[in-house]
Amino acid sequence: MVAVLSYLACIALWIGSTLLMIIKKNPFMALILFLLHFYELVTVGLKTGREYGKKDPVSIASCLCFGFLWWLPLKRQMKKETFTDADFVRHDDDIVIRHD
Amino acid sequence: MGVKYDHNAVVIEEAPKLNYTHNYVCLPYDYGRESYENRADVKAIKATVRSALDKLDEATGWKAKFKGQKILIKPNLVFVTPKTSYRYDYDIPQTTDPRVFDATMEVLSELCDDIVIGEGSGLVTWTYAKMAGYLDIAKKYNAKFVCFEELPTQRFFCPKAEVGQEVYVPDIIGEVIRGERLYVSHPKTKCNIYTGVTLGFKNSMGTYSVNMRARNHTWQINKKLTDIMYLFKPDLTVIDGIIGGEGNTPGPNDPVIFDRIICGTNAVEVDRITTELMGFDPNKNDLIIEADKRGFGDPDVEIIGEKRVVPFRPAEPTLLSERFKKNWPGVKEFVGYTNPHVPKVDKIDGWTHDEVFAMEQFDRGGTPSSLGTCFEVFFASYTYPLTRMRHLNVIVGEGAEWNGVKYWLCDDGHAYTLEELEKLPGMTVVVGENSAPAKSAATHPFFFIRGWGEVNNLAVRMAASMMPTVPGQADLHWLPWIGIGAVRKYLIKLGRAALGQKTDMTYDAFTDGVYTIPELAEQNLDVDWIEAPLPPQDLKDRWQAMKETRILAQFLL
Repeated sequence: MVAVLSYLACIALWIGSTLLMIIKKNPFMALILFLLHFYELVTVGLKTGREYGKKDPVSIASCLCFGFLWWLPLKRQMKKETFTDADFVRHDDDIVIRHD
Repeated sequence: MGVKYDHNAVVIEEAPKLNYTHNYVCLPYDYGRESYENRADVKAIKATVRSALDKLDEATGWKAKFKGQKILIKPNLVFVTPKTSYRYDYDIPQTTDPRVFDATMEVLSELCDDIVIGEGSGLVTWTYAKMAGYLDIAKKYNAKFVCFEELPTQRFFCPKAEVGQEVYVPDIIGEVIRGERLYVSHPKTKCNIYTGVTLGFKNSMGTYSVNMRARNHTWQINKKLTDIMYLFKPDLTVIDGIIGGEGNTPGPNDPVIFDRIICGTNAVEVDRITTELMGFDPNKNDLIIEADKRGFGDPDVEIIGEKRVVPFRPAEPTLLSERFKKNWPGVKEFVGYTNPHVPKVDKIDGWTHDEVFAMEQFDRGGTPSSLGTCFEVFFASYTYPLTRMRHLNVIVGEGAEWNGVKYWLCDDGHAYTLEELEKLPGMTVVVGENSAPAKSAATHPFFFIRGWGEVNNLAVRMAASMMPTVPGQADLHWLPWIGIGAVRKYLIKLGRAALGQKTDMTYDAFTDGVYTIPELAEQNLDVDWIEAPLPPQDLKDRWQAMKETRILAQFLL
């Protein structure tokens, strides 16, 4: 839920800054947003996308639009799915269920 | 007509005792890379699948028969629900484990070049294939992935069928029926609310066109499923039994550590053994009984491997069980059928729980199971604590007639008349097309739910009656993809309809009629199937087919 709301907030930010640029002739908000996302792209976004297996155009477009909202979940997912042999050792509590 | 084996065998292959609970629903991000291939669970699964198939080959010689052939392999994709979809802290094991499927594909791809992975989940198959990683598997092995519901449909007549002699299937299944392509069934070990278990040949339900699935999805379901085997039988069945699923599938089910692969050349025998390994008596499973009655099993089958039983919690297609009452103390069911197979009504009071239960279970393949699925979804949803105490009356069936009056039994021991039902306090829903005589008791006409095959209608209206509830699939990360998948399917079906390639038959889930072909019966044709091409579609037919393509049904049905 938080992820979806964050994405919506980011889209709203882009719309707001674009309107500011067109109506008030003030490009700073959009420029800052773009530069921040561009910085994220070259420092971490593209690398994360490649490690995750995303195609470069997808990584570039996604990171420029959403910045860390895009690459951070990928990084977390990779961390969660990077296993060692110890993760595959059988324990009694591998699955604890029974909702009955 | 597929592969003929001189000797059938079933192999039970134990997997090493490892923790297989990572990625049993969706493949990890690094699928296909070295890091994935080096994982201990992946290596163990691959070795187990290969060993099982090699042992089966030694016993039956299946590999030589598959060499160079065209293959259709069908997994069992139902809902693909990672743990974030529900309030549980584990993934929901409804879909064939993609790691196991990948291992089987590796073996098959060594034998054949033309492999198609096909599935018709009845839902948004493409999205689920993408989520689980099946599209990546297809890419890795240079195979094609097809969604059955998007393919042009073909018609066959099946004179020996007991429920449906007129059958609509996607064109690639037509290839299987004609013997041009071999068919591999690759289900998961799990219980099923409609049929007890869903394994090798129940998996064929997904080979019907979508509306064909809805037809006769009633108390006749076991006969209907067995009828498919006159058209085609799996040439090879590989059951993913690494992590099984217990409980009310296709509602959210619970994982069971099962640790094995079961494979064989006769699907009925594979299902029989697996049912036994799940702790159920196959001689009490109506689906297997039906298949035996028609001689689809093989009493001489060779069984290779140890029969180690791991008891599964059975599916409960009922609103009358202790578990249901504990989970939903405010829900009351009233059930009545007029049918030679149900208890006869001859008293007003003093009905026992068992008698009411017997009445309810008559229509196991239909309404009680669909209701059970819905409530399981509500139970697993995040909103369950808000809905647990909801008061709801559920009326099912046309009423059991006695002295010209219709009665619906409740397990409070009383048989209710329609007048009494109309005065019930709280909200009342009437479920099932056959329940129309009681529709005046519904709180609002919206809550007369036609049911049977109309699963989308049933689910949506039941959810409305249980407000506030959010149905399952509340995985917001994937929600946009489910929408995209639904629109994609809708547009493809619409396009095909416009081109005169119908993808489905006309929707007729509200009838309980048996589909016979009188002109064929008169000729007493002793064949399993006859191809019955659909007439060319003129503009009027195409327009009608386009109108019948519904976006909501494409999503849920």
